[in-house]
Amino acid sequence: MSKILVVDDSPTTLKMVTKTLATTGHHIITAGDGDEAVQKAETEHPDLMVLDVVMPHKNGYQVCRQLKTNATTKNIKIILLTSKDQQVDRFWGMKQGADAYITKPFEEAELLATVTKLL
Amino acid sequence: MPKKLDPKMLASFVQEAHSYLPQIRESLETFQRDATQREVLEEALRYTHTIKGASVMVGLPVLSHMANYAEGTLEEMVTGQRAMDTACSTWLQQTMDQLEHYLDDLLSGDMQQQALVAAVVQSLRRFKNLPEAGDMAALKAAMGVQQEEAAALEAPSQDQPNSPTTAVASDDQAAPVPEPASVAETPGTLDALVAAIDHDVHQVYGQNTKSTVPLGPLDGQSQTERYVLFTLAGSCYAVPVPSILEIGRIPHSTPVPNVPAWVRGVINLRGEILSVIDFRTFLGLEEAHHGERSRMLVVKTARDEIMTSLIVDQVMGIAPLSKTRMETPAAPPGNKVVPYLHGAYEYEDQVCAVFDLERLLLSPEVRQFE
Repeated sequence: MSKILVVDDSPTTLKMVTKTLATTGHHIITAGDGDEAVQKAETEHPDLMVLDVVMPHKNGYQVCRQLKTNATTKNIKIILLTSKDQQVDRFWGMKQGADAYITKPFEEAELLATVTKLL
Repeated sequence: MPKKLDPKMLASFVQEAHSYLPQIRESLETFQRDATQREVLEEALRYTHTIKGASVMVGLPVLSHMANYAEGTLEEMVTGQRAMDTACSTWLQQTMDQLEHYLDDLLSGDMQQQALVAAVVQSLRRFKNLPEAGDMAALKAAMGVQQEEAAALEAPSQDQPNSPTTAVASDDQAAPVPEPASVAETPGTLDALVAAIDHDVHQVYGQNTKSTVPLGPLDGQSQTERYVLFTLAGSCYAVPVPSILEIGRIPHSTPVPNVPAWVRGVINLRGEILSVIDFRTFLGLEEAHHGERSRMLVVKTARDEIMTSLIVDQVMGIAPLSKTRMETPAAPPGNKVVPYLHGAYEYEDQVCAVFDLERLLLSPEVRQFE
């Protein structure tokens, strides 16, 4: 069983993503902003993160870049999940070191397939 | 097949969105009183973006569409493309009222979506001075989404797979609602970046660009690297493609007090606060007014320690340059450019100097303003 950290500032979106991922049997933990995401990534050592982009404090791009340049967190797989759907946003996200980029509204099957592929 | 709406998630969303609207209104009022408080505008943008994202997640693309209109306007304000005048303030406050009406109707079950969407679409088009002739197409597009949502609201409460949200397309209306979910194909690669830059250059300069480099793999010896070529004060310069994140038009920047003249200000680029460096002034070259062809290069060091933006006169395109043909740049002593150069090439009958971006960006002079 792997540990997945879901990060989103919207409580509703957090519930929806958590509900979807709960079907995988993995252990799901959550964070509501960028600072909490970094703190939990460093203390909880998740195997994968589903990370929103537009959030208070650190945004998802900053979180992603910080974790991917830190030796202790760089191996955490990161899926950016965002409603920023322009090609340039997607490109920018992947430049930060994200392993996948999914736009909202996501297809449950696609999120699950991406999680499975990365774990 | 419309997506089934989960009543619990819907209730959670309505409560969440209701909590954001007063904060957005308050932020707008604060910014209208004091335009130096840009952080409150960014907060309003973030809350509006969250409503847009969460609404489409729970299956309300119409509401997401309405929030998307407001987000677009707020983004224009955050990036300095639009001022907070009375018309703008009125339109944003009206749109927040309409979002609130929508949420109330959703709770009461008395949905007047069509009238609300029509009001938002029309008010946005008048606010943006878009022609009335295009209203019908924009309304039809918006109502195409609305019909799907109405069907979902009436759908029986049984498990169904999610269906993609219909993308809205119209002649000149605001950005469409988000496309269906998808995973990026192969972004982040060198070729993707080259393709993006090539596209940008092609769009700006049409067929006359010098960007003639194929997007396929380069020679396997890694002796050739792709460079973006640009001009400064009539001379050609180059920086390696992997160090460039974006090329764009010069944005409105926020001036910063007590900095050298070469720091034009700062911009907020997708949450990153970047310095905008007037590259000509920084290098002590002849100053000039930036024109239609001036561009901003967003550049970074290899290890991402520093990211900044450089204003250049013109982007010429992309060229493969062989490392083995690089020569030592020659220039008179005291020249401020040479210390930041990696070498020089003869390219298409002109000398093209290659910047060592690591040296430039990690120099104490640049670092102190990061």
